[in-house]
Amino acid sequence: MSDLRNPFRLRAANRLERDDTFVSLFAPGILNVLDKEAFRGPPHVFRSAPGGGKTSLLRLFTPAALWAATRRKDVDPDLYQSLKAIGAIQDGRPAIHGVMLAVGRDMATLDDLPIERATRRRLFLAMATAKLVIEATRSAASVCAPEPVPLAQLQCLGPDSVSSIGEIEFPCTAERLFNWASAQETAIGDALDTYPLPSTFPGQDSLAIVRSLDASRILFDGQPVAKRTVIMIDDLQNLASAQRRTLLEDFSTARYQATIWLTERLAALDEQELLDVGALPDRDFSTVVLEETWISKKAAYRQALSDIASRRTKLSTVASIPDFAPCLEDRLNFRVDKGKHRRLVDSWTQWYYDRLAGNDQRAKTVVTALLGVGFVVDDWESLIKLRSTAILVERERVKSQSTFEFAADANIDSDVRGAAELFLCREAGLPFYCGFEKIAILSSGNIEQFLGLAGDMFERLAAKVLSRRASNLTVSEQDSLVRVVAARRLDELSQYVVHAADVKRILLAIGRACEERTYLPNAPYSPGVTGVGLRLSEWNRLRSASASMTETNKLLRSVIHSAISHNLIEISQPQRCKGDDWIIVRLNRILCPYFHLPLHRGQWRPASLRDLVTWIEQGYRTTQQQIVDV
Amino acid sequence: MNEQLATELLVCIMEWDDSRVAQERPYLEALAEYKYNEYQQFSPGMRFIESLATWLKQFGSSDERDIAYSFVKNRLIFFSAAEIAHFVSISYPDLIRPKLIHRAASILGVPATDIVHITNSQVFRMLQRQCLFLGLSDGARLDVFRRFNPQLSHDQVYRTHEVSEGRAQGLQTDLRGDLKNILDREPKPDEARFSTVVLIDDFTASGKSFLRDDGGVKKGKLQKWLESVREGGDLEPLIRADTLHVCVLFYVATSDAIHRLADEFASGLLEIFPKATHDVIAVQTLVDASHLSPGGDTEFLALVDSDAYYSPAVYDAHMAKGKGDGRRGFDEGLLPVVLTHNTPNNSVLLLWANPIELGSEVRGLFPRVSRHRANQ
Repeated sequence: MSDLRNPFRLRAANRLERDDTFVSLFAPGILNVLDKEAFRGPPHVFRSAPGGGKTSLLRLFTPAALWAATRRKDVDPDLYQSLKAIGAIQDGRPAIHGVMLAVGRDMATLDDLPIERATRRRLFLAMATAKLVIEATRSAASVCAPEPVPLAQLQCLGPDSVSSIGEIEFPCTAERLFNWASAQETAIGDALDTYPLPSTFPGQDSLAIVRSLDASRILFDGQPVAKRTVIMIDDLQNLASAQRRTLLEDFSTARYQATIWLTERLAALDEQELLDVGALPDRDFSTVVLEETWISKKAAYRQALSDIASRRTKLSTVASIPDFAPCLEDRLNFRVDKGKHRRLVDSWTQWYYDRLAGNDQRAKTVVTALLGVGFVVDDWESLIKLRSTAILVERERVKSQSTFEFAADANIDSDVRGAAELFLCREAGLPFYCGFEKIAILSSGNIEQFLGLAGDMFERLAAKVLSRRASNLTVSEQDSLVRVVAARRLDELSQYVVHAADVKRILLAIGRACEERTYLPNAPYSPGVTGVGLRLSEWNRLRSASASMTETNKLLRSVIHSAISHNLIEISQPQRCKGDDWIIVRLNRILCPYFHLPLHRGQWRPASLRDLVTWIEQGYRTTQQQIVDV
Repeated sequence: MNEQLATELLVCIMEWDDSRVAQERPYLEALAEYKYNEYQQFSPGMRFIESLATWLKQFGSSDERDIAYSFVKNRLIFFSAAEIAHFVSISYPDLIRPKLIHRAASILGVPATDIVHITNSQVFRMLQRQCLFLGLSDGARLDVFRRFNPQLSHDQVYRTHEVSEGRAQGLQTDLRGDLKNILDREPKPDEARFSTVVLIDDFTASGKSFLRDDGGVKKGKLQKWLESVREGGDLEPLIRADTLHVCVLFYVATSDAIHRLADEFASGLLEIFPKATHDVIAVQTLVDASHLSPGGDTEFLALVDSDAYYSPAVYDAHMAKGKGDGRRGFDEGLLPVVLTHNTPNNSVLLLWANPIELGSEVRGLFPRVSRHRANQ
């Protein structure tokens, strides 16, 4: 593949035509998203917002990609070994017969036909069967040898104890099966092209033919083409709702021998399904929400992102950038970073000392003592300690009986440190969102979000290298870029989000609410508030659509559905707190810099449905503003 | 030159800071990749970014370089090979075929919107076959034109307008044979003649290569063609004089050239074929706003007009046929146009100056190879 100006802009697995290129960009760490039952057990449904990595995951298990990984085993041993470890490659060849069917929007049009519902259902199943058989026979021909073998050389035994399905009699060649499926697809197309529509259509009652597609039932030279078949259906959101339900019903009841993987965007779920947090898990399916999985596997995710970044950087036309993560500066070095930051810190330090010490003699004593004990004004640790102490002083002040009995050199609690760092950066105008660790967190478990942010950073990095000014991005540069991306994410909502104006209002409100609580002088919720909590009882009222639901609540439900399906907010599982169960609603991490919020998933503040509705209608009003109103 | 090195050179010359580089680089590299790198007259190993860097380097100050760069970003018009191929592909179905449909509709006495009826009719099929396509230069790309239009016979598309007598007879014989199949009878003598002639070329800005008055004598390719269809000319037996329509078709042309040629061609044509109709059309017209103008492009024109970026060697016998001294392009064309195979000399000199041909230091962004080079 020719070198790229900015390889982070290369997106969408389905647009990378060459399998070698696709495989070279695939980080083996992504396979951590698969659980132990991925190739066994119930059908898996992989869900995510757009860009979560669903299609890439499926494509890796197609014959072409597996063969490419096998060819590249010396160049890319990590991926090869990872695939071996999960059994996708054995004895130097693909062990999985991956059948990938990407659902196009054309399937949904079948549901618009002015024919009986039962006929529509049968027609859909007939089309789905035809497409699956075509893909399965083609991929069977591709998996058994590096170059595809003629379909006539593959023998299809059919399911156990079944001699025929419809017109197909077993055993038969894969060519016979392929031709039958092609003819069926053509017949359906011809029927749809007829005006007026015919009175009868080709139809199937189920996807029974899938039983004949298992790898053990397709032979090449007398041997099964692979150890296992994985049927992968991508983009279920492109189906009509009834079609999607039909497909899920069939897969859940039929218990096929082949592994079934389905993918869909979160937007495919209706409001009921999407808000169904805390419900009993569906025993017919194993659901994997990619973003949630990555949030729970932080270290593996970070490592995978680092690998993705390294692989892409290698494709760049800018040869002087060997790797991405090491080029991101991680610490503000006062001794190096002269000028603006040094002056800011100096003026801030003096201001805070004067402000704090001037008001309270006891506080002054503490701060003076702290400043006297090896304090170095241009040392980051010293500043953190100063700011942490200031928080502790504030906490003492609000106590009814304050003692100020803490030693200047005592260890500071990590939460207080976290708050101190946040406050320090905001007050002194210092960069906070920097370093690969934070960039990884900012992606909120979505790979495309990471690529977007990393792509902007890479562009700037390449510019610096080409200008021969430096070969890294300073913390200030990273921080600025992150804030620009955060603001842009909010500005661009109207381009892709339903109920964009209302979604934006609620996001801004949640952000401001968290900001107000986070920056209380005594930092009671250190290191900071990053979400709002709704009582589970209120959440359930929102989730269950009833005829008595008010219009405002209906709107709120739609707004939340829209925000979740585009990965703008994260919803937690129910959490117990103060004798009640709560659902925590957090912002996508990339929005946190807009409100100067920390990136952890710690503290939250309570809110009610009424609050959310008010925020949509009127926006968020701070406590001060509310007092003024009264 | 290595791409990275070329970009570094450009950044150095323009004195851009990091944020400006991050802003401009995606744009420049995308356009280079999409179009500009395919320019066929770059010297071996040269690509757009390097040419841009070298071009900008000749300007005396950073202000001038900014002005020149802004011209490249905002005013340059580059017709790529794919775009020209697209013009070729749509020229017959979008511009010529509708005229034939209208004529057939008129003969059949049906509305011109009755497309299926008309195109299935014998009248239309005859009119289509009685259409002769002649190239006015290699730029007409009639090889491509023929492949894009399989409904036309190979025997009605000829690469040059200078047709020998023998070839003309062959064209007529083929026409007669095809008409016999359409009519299911022998065609009458008048029928076995072309009632529509389409003369095709790729580009014109002034129109002077096609028709001009040279000291009282009419010259140009269209004039040559008119000579060939006069009585006694090689092509005269092919032309159906009573219903002739001549269409001069350019893939790209300025509106000035179209209007001028339409007026001047009329007199010559009507002198030979009093009943003929004609038009001059372009697939892509360069309207007045495409030209550089003293009002809208003041700063860049100051560079164009500057002696610092001019070479008197450009003013040769060919350039003398038009207005001006060549710095604003042939006949003061003031065009910002580049074609993938060469830059027309109607464009401003700063776009096409070839330091090797001119023996000067003035350098064009897309150096031109001249057809009118003096014998060496």
